[in-house]
Amino acid sequence: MSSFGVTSTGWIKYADLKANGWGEIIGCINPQSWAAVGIGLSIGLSVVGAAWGILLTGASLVGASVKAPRIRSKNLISIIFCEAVAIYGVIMSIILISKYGSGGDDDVLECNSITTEMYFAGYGIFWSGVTVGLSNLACGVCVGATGSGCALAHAQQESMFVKMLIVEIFGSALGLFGVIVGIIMSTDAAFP
Amino acid sequence: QPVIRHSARKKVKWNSRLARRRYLTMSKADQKGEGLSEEAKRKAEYFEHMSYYRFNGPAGGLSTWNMEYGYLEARVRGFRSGFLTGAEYKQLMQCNSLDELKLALTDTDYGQWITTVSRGVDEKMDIYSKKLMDACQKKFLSEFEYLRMNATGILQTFLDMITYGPMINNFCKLIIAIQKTDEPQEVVKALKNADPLGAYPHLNSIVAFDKQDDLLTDLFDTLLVDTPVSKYFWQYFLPELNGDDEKKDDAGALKKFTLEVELDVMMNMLQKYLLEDMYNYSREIGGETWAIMKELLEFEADRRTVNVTVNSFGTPLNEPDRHDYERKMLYPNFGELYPDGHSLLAGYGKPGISDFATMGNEFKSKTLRFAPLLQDEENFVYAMRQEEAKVFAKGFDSQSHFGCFYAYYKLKMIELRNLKLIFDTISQPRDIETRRGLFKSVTPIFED
Repeated sequence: MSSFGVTSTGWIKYADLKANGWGEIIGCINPQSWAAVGIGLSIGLSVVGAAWGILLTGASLVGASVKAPRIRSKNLISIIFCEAVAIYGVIMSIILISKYGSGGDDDVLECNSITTEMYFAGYGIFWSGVTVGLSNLACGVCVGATGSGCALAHAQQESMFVKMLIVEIFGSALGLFGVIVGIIMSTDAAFP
Repeated sequence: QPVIRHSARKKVKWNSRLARRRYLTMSKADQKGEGLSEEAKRKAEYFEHMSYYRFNGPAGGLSTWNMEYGYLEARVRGFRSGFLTGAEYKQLMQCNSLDELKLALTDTDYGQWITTVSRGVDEKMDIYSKKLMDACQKKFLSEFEYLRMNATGILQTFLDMITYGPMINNFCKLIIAIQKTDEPQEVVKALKNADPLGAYPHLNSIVAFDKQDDLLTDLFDTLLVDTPVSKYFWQYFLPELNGDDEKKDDAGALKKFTLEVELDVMMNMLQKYLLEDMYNYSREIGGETWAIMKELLEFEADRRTVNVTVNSFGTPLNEPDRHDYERKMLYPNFGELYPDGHSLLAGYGKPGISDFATMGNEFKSKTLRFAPLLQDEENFVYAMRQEEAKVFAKGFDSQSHFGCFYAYYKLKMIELRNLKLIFDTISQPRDIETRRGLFKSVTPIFED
C-alpha cells in the first residue's frame, strides 16, 4: 500500500486517494488519536454518569431530609456509590494513559509505517475507554434513580433502607463489570 | 408554547354612588379586616403574575424528572408523613375540652402552629375554636405556599390549576352574596370567609359592585377577564352567544344575560370546566403523571356526577325538563361513568321524590362505579368520603409524577374538614351519643 496521499506539504492528493481506496480515510488515522479519544471518553462519560446520578439522588435526599433528618448520614451511601462510578473512570483513564506512549520521532507518520501493534494499541485503548465510559454512564444513572427512591422510602419507613441498598449494590456492580472488561481488553495494548 | 395573557391594572369602577358610599361607610374594622391582608394581597399578586405562562410538554421520566421537581416532590412526601394517623384521631376524639384538644395537638405535626394560639380572657368557645382552626389551616397554607414559591415549569402551572378551584368558589360566593342579599354585611362576611388558597389580589374590589341585572357580565368585563379563571367563565358564556352578538362590541355582547343565570348551577359548571381542563393538561404532560392523575381525576368526575344527581333531588334542578339540558351538562365529559352512566343518571328523580334506591339497584345490576355506596342512603356521604381518602392515597404511589401534589392537596382538605368537625363538636358540651354520631364522619387517611 502506498501512502495515503499526504505529502510533505500536508495536502491530500485526490488521485492517490482514488487509486488507493477510501478505506484509508479511517485506516490511516493516527492510532494515537483513537487512543486519546478513548481515554477522554472513559473519564468523560464516567463523570457524566456519576454527576447525573448524584443529581437525581441528591435532589430527593435534600428534600426528604427536611422532614426526616435521620436519613442524612445513611443515605450518603447512595451518593458514595455514584461517586465510585467516577472513580472507576479515573482509574481506567490512568491505566490507559500509561499505555499511551509518546509520539515518536518522525515528522509525519505515513500510513505505510503504521504497524499492526500500533493499530492494536489504538483501537484497543479506544474501545476499552468507550466500554468503561458507557457502562459507567448507565450505572451512574441507575444508582441515582434507585438512590432517590431509597431516600424517599427511608424517610417514610426506617426499615426500607437496607432493602433498597441491595438494589443499589446490584446497580453499582454494572460499572465494575465495565471496568473489568476494559482492563482485560487493554492489557496487551501498548504503543511502542 | 407559553400563552401570554395581557392584564391592565384596572382601577376600581364605582358602579354607583350608593356602592361607593356603602364601601366608605363600612366600619373601619370591617374595612381593615375585610378579605385579604396586605401581605396576602402582595403574595396573591405575585402568584397571579406568575400564572401568565402555561407550561406544556412532557415532564421527563425517572432519569430527568428529579432535575426540576425532585426536591419539591421529596418535600411533599415529607408533608405526607405529617398527616394525622388513626391513633392520633382517637386521642383527639377523646378530649373533653378545647384546652385538652390543644394539648393533644401539640404532640402531632401541628404542634408548632398550635402552641402560639391562646385563649383570651372569657373568650367564647366558638371563637377560640375558630382561632385553633385558623392555626391549623395556616400550617397547610404555609406548606402549599412553599411549594408554589419554589415551583418552576410544569409544576408551577399544575399548582396554579389546583388553586383555581378555590378561586372559582370565592368569586361565585361573592357574586351570590351581592346578587342574592341586600345587605353589604353579607358581602363583607363572604370576603372574610374567602378561601385563602384561591386568593386574587383584586378580590376586595368586588364590593364596589352592587346588585343589578347584568352584574355578572359587568363583573366579567371589568374584573374577571383578568383573572386566571377567566377562560372558564368564558366557556360558560360562549354557548349563549349567537351570531348576532358578534356584530356588537364585546361589552354589549354579554349584556343580554339577566337574573335567569342560576349562580349555584354556574359555580358547578365552572368547576366542571376546571376539572376537564386539568384532565386535558395531565394528558398533555403524559407519562407517569397521566397514569396516576387519570385515576384521581376520573374519581373526581364520577363523584361529581353522582353528587350532582343526588343533591339535586328535591331542588328545582330535579324537574324533568331540566334533566337533559341543565343537569346533564353538569356531568364532566370523562370518567368511568361516561357516557353510559350519564345517560342512566340523566333520567332520575321525580319532583319531590328521591330515587336513591332505584339508582343503587340499577348501578349494581350494570356493575357501575359506586354501586355499593348507593345501596345505603344514610351512610352515602360518609362512604363517599372514605372512598375519596382511599383513592387519593394512591396518588402517592409511584415516583416522578405530579399526582402526589394533587393528592396532597385533596387529602389535606379532608384532614382539615376532620379537624373542623372535631373542633366544632368539642367546643360545645355534648353527650356521648351525640358525639359518637358526629365523630362517625371523621375520615381516617392512609388507614387500610
